[in-house]
Amino acid sequence: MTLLPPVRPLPAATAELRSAVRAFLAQELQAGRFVPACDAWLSGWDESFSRRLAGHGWVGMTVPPQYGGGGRSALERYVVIEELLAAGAPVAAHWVSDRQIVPNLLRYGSEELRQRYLPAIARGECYFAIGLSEPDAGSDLAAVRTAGTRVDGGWRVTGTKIWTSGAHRAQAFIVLLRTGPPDGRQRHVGLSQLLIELDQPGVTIRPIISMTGEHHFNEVVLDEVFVPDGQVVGTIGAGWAQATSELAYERSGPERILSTFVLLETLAGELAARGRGPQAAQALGRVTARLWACRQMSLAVAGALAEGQAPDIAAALVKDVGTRLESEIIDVARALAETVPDPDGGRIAQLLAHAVLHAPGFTLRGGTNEILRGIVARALGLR
Amino acid sequence: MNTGMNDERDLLRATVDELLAEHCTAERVAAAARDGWDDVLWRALEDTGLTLAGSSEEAGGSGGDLTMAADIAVAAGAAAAPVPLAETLAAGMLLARAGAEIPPGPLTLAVAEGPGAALRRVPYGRLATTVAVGSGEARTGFGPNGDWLAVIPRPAGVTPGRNLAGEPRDEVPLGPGAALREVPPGTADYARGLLRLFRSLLIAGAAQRALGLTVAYVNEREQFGRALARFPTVQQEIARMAGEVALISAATQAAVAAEHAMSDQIRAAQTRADQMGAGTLSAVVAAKAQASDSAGTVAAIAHQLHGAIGTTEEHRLRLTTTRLWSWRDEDGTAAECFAELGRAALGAAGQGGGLWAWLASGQGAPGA
Repeated sequence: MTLLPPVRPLPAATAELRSAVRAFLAQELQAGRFVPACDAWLSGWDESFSRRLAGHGWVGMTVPPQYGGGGRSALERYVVIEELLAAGAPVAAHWVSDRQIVPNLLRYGSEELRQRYLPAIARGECYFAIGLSEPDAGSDLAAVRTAGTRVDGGWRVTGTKIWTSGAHRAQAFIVLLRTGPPDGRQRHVGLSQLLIELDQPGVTIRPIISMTGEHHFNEVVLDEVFVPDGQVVGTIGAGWAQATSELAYERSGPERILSTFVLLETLAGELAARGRGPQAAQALGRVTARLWACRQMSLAVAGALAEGQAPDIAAALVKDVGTRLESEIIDVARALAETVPDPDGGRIAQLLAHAVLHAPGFTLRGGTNEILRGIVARALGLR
Repeated sequence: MNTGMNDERDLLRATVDELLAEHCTAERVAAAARDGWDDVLWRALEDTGLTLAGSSEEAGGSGGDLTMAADIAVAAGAAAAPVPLAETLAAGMLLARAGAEIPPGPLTLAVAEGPGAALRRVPYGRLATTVAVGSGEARTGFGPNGDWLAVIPRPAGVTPGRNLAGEPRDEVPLGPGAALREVPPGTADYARGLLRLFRSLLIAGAAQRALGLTVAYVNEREQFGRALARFPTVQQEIARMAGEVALISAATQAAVAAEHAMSDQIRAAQTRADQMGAGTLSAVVAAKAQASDSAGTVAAIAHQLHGAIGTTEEHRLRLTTTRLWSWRDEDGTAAECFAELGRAALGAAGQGGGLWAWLASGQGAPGA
């Protein structure tokens, strides 16, 4: 059994790109335009940062030139986003657009949808949310109850989506909903994807405040919202296959490894300055080795994806080991930092406080690790 | 890359796996723990030329590159092959690099703390020609930085020892009579890297085998009227195990790529010290650290899911897990590798590029 696609080095040409991103980030930091934060791909919403980044061609990088993008490769995008994540840069505004919507529209979107959204995404000006989870459909995604009724020229949509990150600031979201009955026990039948603008009658967005006090999540209630046929993504009835086809990207990317990297970098910097002893080196070495190995796994999956393969087991494994590592980093920091988590404390104390309160989400979002481990076990032949 | 190369690689893997499967039955591997090794298997391997893959033909090797030797070492680990196969591959590569001729028969590689000191816990020391490498000391006469090498054929006066799997781990004397020859600077470091890399590759193979054995067992064993595989808790543990196996695999593959790229550069008349800039993560150290760390988790889950039967002498699992428990502490324990990596991390964190630049550097050379 092969668990992992071959590990391979990144293309040589990406080295220059990496240097350019680092130079940009150094400038941004020097100008005080952002403060590095943990989990900034969820919580760092900064539209002007997104636009500056897009000015360098680093948002929607894989969008072809005819839709206003740079037509860069998925591996080039990988290099850019891992540099941004490692630096704790505020990438949340364009994150979903860049990660999910671009590949989704390129693969399934009509020419009209591509023309309308992709150029704005590549300019760093168009932000999306995801409409998957519902109050009664979490891990069991096929249980979605949001439904569309066929009406003249489109669909009339009613239902509730939840955990919709950034919906209160985003322009639109792509919703998984039922447009037809299931085929007996085949619940994946009859599901579709619609692109729905959020600022319109019938859409109510209610904030869900996290235990950090931050507002990322929302409940989005759709009440008889009219969605014209032109907003259908792909094929009616093929929503399940479409929504799950990009999961390997979502599960195996550097954001499943690096959500607490800023804490580790800051801790290491402080320990280096303080001149800590062998025990600190050993603890740091352990998470460093694991982080390095996780990154090689993630790169192996990225390489396979770039070649058009679907390494679903490996992608699930990256998410499982990577997100658990994100929490282990917090434990190492707690052991070595000589400070307690404190939202009002010094730099490390604040980073710790933020990371501790975000940590439960690491192994929940993008498919809970338990569900993913079940997928792995079945793929390995367990019945 | 081109499919021709992949086909060739797949063919080699299939050939090695088939040969090892034929010979490495549970009975033969268990018997070897009593006899020291399996000479029938060794002769079969030698006949195919597999034992010196990765070493140049000019030096007396079979040709091929590190990738080929690495594939063979992983297969040896998976099969629990009771012969110094990985050891011979590593020693052959070292001799070829040092410009020395490769002697016939099984080889083993050891790094000496100093001339005159005994070589401790040398794998198969009693059966193999020992290739000893050391770093310069004044008394060698090779100058303060001169590395040296000694080839010690079937040494007399070996004190036998063994590891948890019953593999020979012998004390080999390196007397004043040993003929030391000067070799290029960096050779001793290269030998340390090879030892760690090949030990990690053996662990990678054994970890895969442990997973395979465990998957087969939980599908077959029934309790409460259904296969263990049907229990969600069992599935969760299998997946956790698979995650650790994948980490080892990723780490060792990346280390092979990094080492391969570096050896190309060294062939272009550079020394290792020049290449290993202070800001570069050592992929080999990271790989051994991760392999050693994950080996324990893999073995523990394998045993937990096998239940009591897995702990018996007659069960095949122990041939693999006793190797995992031995190999994780050989050629650098997890703790030693963590500490070395951690010191390098702290060094990097105190400099301009910081921890991230250092971490992202440990990837091997950029390829096509």
